[in-house]
Amino acid sequence: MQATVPTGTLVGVDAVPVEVQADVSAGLPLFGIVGLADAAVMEARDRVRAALRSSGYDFPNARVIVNLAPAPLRKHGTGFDLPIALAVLCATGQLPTETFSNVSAVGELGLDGSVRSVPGMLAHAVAANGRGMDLLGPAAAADVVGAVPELRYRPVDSIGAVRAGLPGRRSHTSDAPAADVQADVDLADIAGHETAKRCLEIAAAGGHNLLLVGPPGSGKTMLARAMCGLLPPLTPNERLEAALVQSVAGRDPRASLAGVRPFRAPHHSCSIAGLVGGGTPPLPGEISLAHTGVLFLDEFPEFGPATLQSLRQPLEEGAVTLVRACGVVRYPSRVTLVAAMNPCRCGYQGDPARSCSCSSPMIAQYKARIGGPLYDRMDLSIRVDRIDPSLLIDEIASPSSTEAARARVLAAREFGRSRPPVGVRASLTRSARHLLEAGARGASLSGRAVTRLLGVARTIADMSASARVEEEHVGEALGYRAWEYQ
Amino acid sequence: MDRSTIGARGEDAAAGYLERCGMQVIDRNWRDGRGELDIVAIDGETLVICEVKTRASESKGTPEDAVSPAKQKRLVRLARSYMASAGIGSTNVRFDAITIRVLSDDRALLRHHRAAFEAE
Repeated sequence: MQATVPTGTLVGVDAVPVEVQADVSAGLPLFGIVGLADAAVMEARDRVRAALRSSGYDFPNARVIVNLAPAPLRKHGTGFDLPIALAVLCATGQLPTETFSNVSAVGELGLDGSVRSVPGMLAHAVAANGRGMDLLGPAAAADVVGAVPELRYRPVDSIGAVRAGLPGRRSHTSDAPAADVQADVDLADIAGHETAKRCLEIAAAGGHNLLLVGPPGSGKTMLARAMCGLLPPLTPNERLEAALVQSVAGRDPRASLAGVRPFRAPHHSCSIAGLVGGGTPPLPGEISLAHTGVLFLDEFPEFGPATLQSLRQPLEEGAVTLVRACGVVRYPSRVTLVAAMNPCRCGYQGDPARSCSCSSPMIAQYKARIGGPLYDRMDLSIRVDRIDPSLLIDEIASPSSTEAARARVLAAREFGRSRPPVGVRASLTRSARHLLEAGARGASLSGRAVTRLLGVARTIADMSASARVEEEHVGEALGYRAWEYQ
Repeated sequence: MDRSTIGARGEDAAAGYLERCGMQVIDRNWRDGRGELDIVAIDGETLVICEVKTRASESKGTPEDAVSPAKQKRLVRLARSYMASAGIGSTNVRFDAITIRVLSDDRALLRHHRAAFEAE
């Protein structure tokens, strides 16, 4: 007898529809799985057999062939356990065949028949919803998939429980409560650095990339960590986008669903696959895990040269496209990049108090590790110099606080949304235009750099609630590109 | 008692055991050019191919060890040619193994592994 149970396999952040077809016939006993399945899927045989037996079902002493259609698509992961087991039950008459005409199933089986969560539950939920199907899956994932509007979820904690029929539908739970933004560093805890704090605000308001350059111990890392607290909460669409990436990477998506923007700070020993994604099967990298949030790269020039340059395309397009032998995978990567570096190898170039021991070719070589194309993409680059020790010793209260800065960021974003949708070029005043042209010529800025500079000027204008982009806004934006041309 | 006598006595014991279990032994020591099936029996609707392993000592491993993956493959191949030559088409088939550990002249330990393995 034959039976079919719909399920899916992950390609990028999507669950592509897959049909599990089971055929049980007389003949030499066999449990075979065909249809480009990876090792984890092949191991499903032993889990399915044990799970069915320990849940009181019969595993047929017959020829059982399971086909995963479409056959040319590579299938991976343990989520096939449950649909394979259900297809065998239907094909042996232990469950009514028509049970799964409009229900797809996904989940891993324990040997005791328990149904466990798998990576990408959220993607499976979105896909089932898109196909107009109910989703049968682990009870443990019910609160996560509840974030998908209108999904009809049927939670099950063990395969023995479907004997009496499918569990009832649980539809959309209420929106996850907005979580408190948890910044581990408050701006008020950082003494001095008022320009850098201003830049953090601009970066947060406009989603601009930020490069902090300064000697060791000047506070670059603390500043970057404070950035988390400035970001506005995620919109419902962004929540789902960010949570999908977390989910397919096998991470807990609940923080994203609650509206917290991710902050990722990979170490500089990170590989290309670790940063932009890769592996078999492909998994999202740090830049995708930081989607809608902040990717912080400390000790920027210490990253491998190929690793750094691999950031260029994802930063520009907001998505990573991985081309592998098994196909093309796409992960979103809209991030605000915050990078921190020393100005030279010894770290003290330009420091008024300590002398730099690097020769000028060494300094040039150090800067060249980043390279023009990446500098171009850093909208704001500023120096973070050592602060007066008295500021630290006397614990003079900083005039800024994360709360106030966040309020300004939210106001700027709100103003940006509400002002007339005029292109930034059209909103330049005459004098602003002149200044921009002079500045761009003077520093021989690239086309991309000019475009990005305009974006920064627009954000600065939004922060002062100005519909026009004035000379002062362009001037300030130009000032934040000064370091790289020194 | 030499090895082949021990083996033959083991197979007799196994066949007797299967009969007592309600199965009908239809063939013993069926061979084609490539090997031998120890016992072929019928259990209800199911054709049972049974491999018997008898050991007097475990110095060369347990009798279960002797039903190795290579041996299983060989048995599956033999089962196919048996079914073809006997004109048995579509029926359920089960591969059993019976292992016998000889303890003394008149005592042995018999284990029946139902559905011990399947075609790969």
